[in-house]
Amino acid sequence: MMKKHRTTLVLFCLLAVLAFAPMLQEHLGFPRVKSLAGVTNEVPFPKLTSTTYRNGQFQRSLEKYLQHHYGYRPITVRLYNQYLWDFYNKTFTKGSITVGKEGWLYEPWFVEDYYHGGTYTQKKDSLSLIQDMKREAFRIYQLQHILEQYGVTLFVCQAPGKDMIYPEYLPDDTVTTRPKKVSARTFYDEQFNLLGINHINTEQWFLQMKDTVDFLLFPQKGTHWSNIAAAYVADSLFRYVEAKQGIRMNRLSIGEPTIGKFKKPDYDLEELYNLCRPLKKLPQHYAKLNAIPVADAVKPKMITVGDSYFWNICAFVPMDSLFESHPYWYYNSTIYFDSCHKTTKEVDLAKELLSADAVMLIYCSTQLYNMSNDFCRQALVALCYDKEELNEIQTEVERKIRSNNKWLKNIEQRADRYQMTLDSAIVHEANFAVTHDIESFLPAFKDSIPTKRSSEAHRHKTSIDN
Amino acid sequence: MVFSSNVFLLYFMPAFFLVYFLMPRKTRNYVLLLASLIFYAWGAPEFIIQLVVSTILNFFLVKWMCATQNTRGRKWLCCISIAVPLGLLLVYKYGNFTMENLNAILGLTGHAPLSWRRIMLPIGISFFSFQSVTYTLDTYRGVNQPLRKLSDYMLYITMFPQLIAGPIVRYCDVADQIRQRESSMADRLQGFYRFVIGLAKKILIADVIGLCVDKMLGPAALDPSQVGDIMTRIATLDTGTAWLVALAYTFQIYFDFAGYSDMAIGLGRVMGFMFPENFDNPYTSRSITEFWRRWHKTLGAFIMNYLYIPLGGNRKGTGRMYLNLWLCFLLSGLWHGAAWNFVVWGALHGLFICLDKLFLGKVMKKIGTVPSVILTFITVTIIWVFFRIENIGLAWTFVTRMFAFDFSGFVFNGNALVYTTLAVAAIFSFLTLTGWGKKLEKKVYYTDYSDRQHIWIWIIAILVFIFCVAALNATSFSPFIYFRF
Repeated sequence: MMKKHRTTLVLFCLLAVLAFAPMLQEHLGFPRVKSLAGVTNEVPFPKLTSTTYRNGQFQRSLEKYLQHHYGYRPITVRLYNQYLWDFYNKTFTKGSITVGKEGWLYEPWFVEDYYHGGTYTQKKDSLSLIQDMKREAFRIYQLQHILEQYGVTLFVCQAPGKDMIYPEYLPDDTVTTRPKKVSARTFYDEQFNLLGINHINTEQWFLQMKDTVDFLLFPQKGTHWSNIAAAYVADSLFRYVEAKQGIRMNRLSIGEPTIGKFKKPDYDLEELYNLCRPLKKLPQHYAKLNAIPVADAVKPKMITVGDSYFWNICAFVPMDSLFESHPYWYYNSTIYFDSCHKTTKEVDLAKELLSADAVMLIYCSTQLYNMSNDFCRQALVALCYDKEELNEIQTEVERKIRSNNKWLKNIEQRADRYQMTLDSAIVHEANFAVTHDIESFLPAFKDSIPTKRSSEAHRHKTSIDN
Repeated sequence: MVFSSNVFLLYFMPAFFLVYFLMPRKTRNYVLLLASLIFYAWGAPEFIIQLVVSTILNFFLVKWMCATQNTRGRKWLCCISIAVPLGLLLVYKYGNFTMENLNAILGLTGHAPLSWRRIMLPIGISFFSFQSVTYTLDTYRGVNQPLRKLSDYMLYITMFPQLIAGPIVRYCDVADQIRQRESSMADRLQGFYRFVIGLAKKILIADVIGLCVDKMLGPAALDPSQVGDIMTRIATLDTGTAWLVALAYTFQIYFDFAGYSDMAIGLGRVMGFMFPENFDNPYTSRSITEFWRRWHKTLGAFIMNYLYIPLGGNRKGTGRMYLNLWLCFLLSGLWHGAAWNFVVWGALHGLFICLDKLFLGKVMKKIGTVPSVILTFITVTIIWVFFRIENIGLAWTFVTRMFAFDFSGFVFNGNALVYTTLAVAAIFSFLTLTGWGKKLEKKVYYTDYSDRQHIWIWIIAILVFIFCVAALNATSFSPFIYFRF
């Protein structure tokens, strides 16, 4: 009897200790637990006020917060995902992964792009999309010519999508009712050729290479080009910069491809599953990448604006040995590899651009719809206008708005909707018009290649000429 | 606060039990009362004052009633004491319903509708109102002595394990336990095991099936703007799909409700309360009458003791008995929700109970166990449609699709997980029809475990608990590889 009592007592005490384990782990952060892969929106701790408590908002938000913040969460999520994967071949990576044939994984927008011309994130109709892309291509053309005058090479690198290089592993298209929409991939290609824009389309090159090499250009469980493919692309890009700049750079040496231990991010899609056990994968080749010094080599400065495809280049290629600096303006928002700036908002754009030797726009097929992420417009404005001039034009636009009844009425309605004062709505509208619809509101952009320059650009030009 | 939430499972429950067991025995009721008020105030902050005030009022009314020697005075005080909780129930639960119907009638007769402000329904009001009634009537009838301390009475009404969704604990069932109770270590562990069983029923079965049912039928409380869309979908529903959806809901509601009751009973047992059982394998019933002896047993007992018998039961002739039965189920339907679909649901159950008494019961007995269980299950499944679909027109269309014999396109959106869960739900629902199923149930629910069994069951319970927490939260994690701007 005593022994039974002892057993149940021990079990009950153990239960009490275990009940507090998640709370303690969450608040003390001990023991450390391997965090979950992937990015999600951070759920903030809710604000407790009398109103949020009484209307239940605080309680609902706290529950949501606790779903993301409780002890041992990664373990429980992995455990449940592993169960779903083992028994039902599914996980809760909602909409982030599409399972193809023979265990190949794709991001769903690549599948969409392959079968339906890729309008995954595009809400616009084809016609306005074409207009937007045409305008963007023309801005690239303008920017390329302006930067050329300052000895800066602007060029575009179109990265291939995994869908185009390995379509044989794509899942069958089950949706037959959607019409094929405009493809940014082919549209930009035509525009770039038509306007003579510096660009490298790596897609055809990859397709040719695919049958001649015995390594994978895209990892089976990853979304970006493989380490070795990225290295070949990087080498070509650097040669392109050399040729355009008329300089000699240190050489990138690519060693013999050999099967190696999987390196990040070659299994980034698999990681997103957040399973307990790794999946079986096709072997991946890796090559040793070194920079070989060249006599009289110049280390240029290259700014890269683009999507995540550049990560693989940065991750494997010894960029510091090849470039003086190589800031990476990720989606023209966060800045990496730059000790001075963290976001593009902090940057003096004209000054930064004119101090570079090359500017590369690198986008994969599904991101072409957001080509440059507004970088070109911002750069054109920065190179052609001073702030004071823009303010004057904005004041003029504000005056025009106030004298145009139709326009004013439209803004009044919007002010009502967003609960703004009419004055601030007018300022907002004028500012947006001047800084975004530059072709309509800024006279310099009426010309094919603007000749007007901002003070910074002018100063730079004078110093070059001297 | 609901049991199947992180706030409860990972914070409230551990913190509460820690304080509860660390405090001296004499103060534990106060701890439980305070925790119960916090629990209620968390989910219904606007109504905590009404709950407390009405409880205090009722306590003193009953005290006054018991102290009154005059029979007439006692009767009056009893009526007032019953009228307080039932009045609140009427106002809060049926206020909107009454006004909507009144305005509909006014509209039909060409009168202008009356304006009123919609009333929010306090959670758990249906349960604590009934418990309040049982306290008044049990003391009035002299079944139990009234509680001496206000805090004990408040504890009986607001005790968090059964506050929100029952079981409806009659005062006579727990009167002694409120004053004094014992809980051995084994009781506490078995309470925990029972809680985990309930949690698994809710999270691993009911919620999984529920997601699928909601996708097919829309949310339980339909916005009027959604009715058109759902009607279009239902009007062309394939018969196979309609049956599968109805079956899915049949299992969902059982595992949801039974799971919640298990959790409540388990939590109570940890503290030494022996709450009455609420479910006894209802889908193995051989008639609707038997179904109501097995489904929501505490409600059945309440209706029997506090409504059917006071109405005259079967003592006033056969005709009156049928009327009483039917009326009880009609009101039971209305108790489940203030909408006409619940009235229809209750009326149909009442109808089948009357038919059982008339002839159906005998027929069911004659045809044997398996056919009668199947027929009863099918009947219950069809009637559940009226419980799930609030719009009567939609519900009726759905039922017609179940008998349209149109097998043109199966569109049930379940996946392997849902189908497996449905199969598991079906197995557990009918398990006790077999001898070994009954043995297993007895072993799991009603046997004192040996040391060795405790260790194994403890480990399994912990693993199931972790798995439930994992399932509860897994859906919240849906990452992207990289943020795209």
